[in-house]
Amino acid sequence: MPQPPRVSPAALVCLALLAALPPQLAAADGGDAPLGRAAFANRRAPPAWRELPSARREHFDLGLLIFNTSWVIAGTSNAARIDGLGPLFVGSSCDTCHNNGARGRPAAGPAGTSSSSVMQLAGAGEQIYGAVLNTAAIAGHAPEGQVQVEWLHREGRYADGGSWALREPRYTLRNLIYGPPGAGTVLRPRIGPQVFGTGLLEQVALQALEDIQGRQPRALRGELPPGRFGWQGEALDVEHQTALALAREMGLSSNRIAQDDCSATQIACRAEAQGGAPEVSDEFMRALVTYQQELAVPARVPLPAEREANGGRLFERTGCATCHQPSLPVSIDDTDGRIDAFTDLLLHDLGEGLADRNLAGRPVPSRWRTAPLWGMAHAGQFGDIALLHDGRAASVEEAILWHGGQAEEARSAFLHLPAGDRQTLIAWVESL
Amino acid sequence: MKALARLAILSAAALSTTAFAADACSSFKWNVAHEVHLFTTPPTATTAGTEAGKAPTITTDRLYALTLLPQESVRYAASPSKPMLADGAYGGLLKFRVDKAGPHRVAIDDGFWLDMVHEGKPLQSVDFNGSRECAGPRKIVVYDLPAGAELTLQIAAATRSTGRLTVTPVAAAPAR
Repeated sequence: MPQPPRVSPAALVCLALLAALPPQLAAADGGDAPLGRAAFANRRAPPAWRELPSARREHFDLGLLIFNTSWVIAGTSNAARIDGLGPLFVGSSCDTCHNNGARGRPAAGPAGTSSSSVMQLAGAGEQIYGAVLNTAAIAGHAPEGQVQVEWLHREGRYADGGSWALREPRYTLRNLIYGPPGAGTVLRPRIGPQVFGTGLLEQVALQALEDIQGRQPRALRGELPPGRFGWQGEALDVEHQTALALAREMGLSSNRIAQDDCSATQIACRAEAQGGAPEVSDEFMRALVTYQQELAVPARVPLPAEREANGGRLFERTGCATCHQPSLPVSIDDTDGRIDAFTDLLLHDLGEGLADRNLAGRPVPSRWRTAPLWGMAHAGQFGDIALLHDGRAASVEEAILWHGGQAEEARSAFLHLPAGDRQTLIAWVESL
Repeated sequence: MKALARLAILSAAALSTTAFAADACSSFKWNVAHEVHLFTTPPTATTAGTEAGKAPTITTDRLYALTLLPQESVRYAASPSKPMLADGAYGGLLKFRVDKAGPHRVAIDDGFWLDMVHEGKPLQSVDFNGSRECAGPRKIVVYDLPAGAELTLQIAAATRSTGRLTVTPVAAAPAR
């Protein structure tokens, strides 16, 4: 489904300049260059962040092919390696929600949801429909339902009198084939995050996160999540995250998760023919995981020195850096280094505005893993962006304004910046 | 009894899906009323070519019902620009020209991969959009096309051997 969006001439020039640099130099900032960044000369074939030995390179290359491939119905002729889609699913390829490995894209129309997004369900709804509302189905089955969005508008003013505006999504489930689940069902809209750099995030030691946690002021202190990936840190590692997505959103079993997202009551779903046992072979799973583990993060788009320095200072001064940590230590193959992922990988309460809601519309307590900001420049180069867990923020400014809860202080600091400083800070985040 | 219950569920779903489809195509970021209309017209049956020299010629503003061929039998004018496995996939080639240079939308009823090839090289698409719910079209890719030149539209990684497709100048489909 995804096809390349438009690329501005300026962005092409930037990419061409960056492409001329070797991976490790593309984001160099002296002798302490962060690991993981590389220029993306061809974004449909994103590079590994380091030189790979040939066997691992083969897995990486195969992983890219599998990532992009649409899976097909069990029993499809000549497709034994990629059959078993569904019977219920959201997308037929990884690329559907992570186009070229990048962040999900915004919804196209006013009432539609992003084609890179899913609606997870918790509570009674999960018992009936499974963990994800599957909006597509193979022949002989019906989609579980559809998701519709209504946008409420919020407006406000900065301390200097400038105005801001936000769009708040309200989600409704339609055409539910088993009828409405209980009002206590929690709707958990989630947009596909970028997969760039996930292998490096996996390499950050738990001790490093505990150290950050210990340094954070009590009111802002994050919680250690159960895992490392997912918007709420629920997936333990890259393989677990991959297996979850394959099972829930594509209806594909693996040796890590053996069952599709069919609830106990979905008899026909559970009885549908399988494309193998498991449907995703160990070889394919290893390739998919290798691809993500080695996938580079797009190089930063450099700012003029003064703007760079000022932006970084504002990022610190407003308190953004307390959670969006500019540097995390990693140890890879016994070599110590650092990454500039701009996350603490900890869970934080960001307030009711961002919290998931139940079907009755009431917010439920929600904690979010600090979203890595690396790759922001790449996201902005290819059209519209969709930030935060459900893609509601169409700009960095909107994303900042949505922060509340433990980030309320940082939001307030942003609201009190003069317009020029706000623009400098936004431009700096956009360059990451 | 279980089979009847399942049939009832599917029937209900089909009815509600039909009702939903009426506004499903409004989730495109452009006004796609022109394409939606074309997708309701009687299609012209066409078998895609296995190589550029044998590709059938199509015209703009007409719905085509395509028969695609096993991808391993297709010799593309340029390699598909998205790396993908081709297991069990279908594909094919179509030729056409446009009288007037400018943006054109290629609309298709599934998420098959499209490349527009001019002088042996894929053209960079200008934009794309899709709708999971809209039955026709489901995916639209915009290309800025040169006037008079022979263009090859390549279809790859199709998960079935049929598809419906239109090519329309953007002027015929006003922005939302």
